[in-house]
Amino acid sequence: MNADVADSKKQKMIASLVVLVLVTIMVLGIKAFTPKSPQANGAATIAPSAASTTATSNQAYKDGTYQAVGSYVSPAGSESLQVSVTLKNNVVAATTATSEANGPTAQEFQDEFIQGYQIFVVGKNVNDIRLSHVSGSSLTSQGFNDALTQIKDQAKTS
Amino acid sequence: MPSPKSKTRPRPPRRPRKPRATFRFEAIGTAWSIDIYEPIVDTDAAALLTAVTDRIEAFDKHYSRFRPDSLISEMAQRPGTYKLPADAKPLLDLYAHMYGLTDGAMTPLIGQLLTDAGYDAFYSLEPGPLRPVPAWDDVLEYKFPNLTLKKPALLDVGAAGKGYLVDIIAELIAGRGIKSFCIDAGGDIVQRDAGSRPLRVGLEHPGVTGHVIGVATITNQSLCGSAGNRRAWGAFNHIMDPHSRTSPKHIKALWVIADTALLADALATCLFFVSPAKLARYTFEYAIVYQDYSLGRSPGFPATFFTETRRS
Repeated sequence: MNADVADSKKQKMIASLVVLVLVTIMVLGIKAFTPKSPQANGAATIAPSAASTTATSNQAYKDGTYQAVGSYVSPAGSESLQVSVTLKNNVVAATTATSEANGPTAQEFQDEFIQGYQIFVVGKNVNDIRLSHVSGSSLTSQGFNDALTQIKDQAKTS
Repeated sequence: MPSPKSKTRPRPPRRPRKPRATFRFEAIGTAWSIDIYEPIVDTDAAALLTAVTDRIEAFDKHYSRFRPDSLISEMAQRPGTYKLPADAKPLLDLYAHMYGLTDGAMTPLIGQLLTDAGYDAFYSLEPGPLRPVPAWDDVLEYKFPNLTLKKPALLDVGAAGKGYLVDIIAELIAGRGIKSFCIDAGGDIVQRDAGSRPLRVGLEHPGVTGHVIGVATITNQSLCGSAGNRRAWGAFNHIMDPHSRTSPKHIKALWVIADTALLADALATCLFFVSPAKLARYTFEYAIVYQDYSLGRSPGFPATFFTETRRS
């Protein structure tokens, strides 16, 4: 039961983080601000440092990476999350979020949020990297190398 | 903040160091390689290899649930109070602590469930009825050097035992005055180097054979990995949740770096069940590849990862 409560609490926290970041991204999108603008407070209390402008449908944005810090109040106190948005041809090309959490719980929530958010691993062929050891599942480096040798042999003969 | 592109830029391949002596052998169901990075005469190397394999055999004789003549098999047949071997203390102490921290998920009482699911001495891999995993206090009373089994129970220390054995072998080698070596037991790695030279270890892609998702660099540390893509059969793999009696699917692979392989190996299992924050009392670094290949890592995990950034 406790796990259920903790899960739903966690989901709520993560949901509010999603909202926070979306709001921050929207604000970043509609404000004509300068790259690397140091501060914009998140959620309900957005107060951009740049002069306020009204968004229009044909607004053009300068390509670049913009950063802002979003703040929110958790049960343990005030927490913040740094969000970075890269705009290219008026399109959000990339976003990243960096945890600035004070409390361990917030750190955990933010880490999970950030992890699920945008960084995905991709594979690289082991032949392109010189390695004496590989760690993964309980598969050995030797087994790994043997399998690789077989694959290479198959590739050569086919 | 570094741009994502800098993380994926290819690095020029570097040639690994050549060891002065290498032992390769199979033991406890995995392949071992031990590299010695300093001069060693042949007779010493031969004597060392014998000592190493003897020590592994002694460990296996106590802790393997696969051999009928092991201490663990005896416990499964005959309840009672057993005086544990001297080397059991770090292992059982850690299990006892982690059992509490993981709400019973990390438990030596997982042995019967693994067997029920088909992960038995013969690798039959044919799941039968899955019996519930008993609670620690219902079955075990542990006060080193004694372990009392109140009823028969098949123990399994596989979640930390291999890492611990690698530590033990590292001690054995260091005890012979050898300061620079590397032990790799199926991807559980201990490296020692007198000159603090780092060791580069590829992190195997959990979905694509022949690919790695990053390169970790360890220096006088231990690295253990765990993944569900091998030693997997049907709906199961070698990691099982004692409460749900299923194998976790939310994580594809993970790695832990710690000062000892015992700790790294044990934490690698715990992280399938609890968040890193719950294990904060231990000193370690981790990297987790989730089901959707998103990456979670501690800031200090010493690795270059091959990543791409996209909206999830």
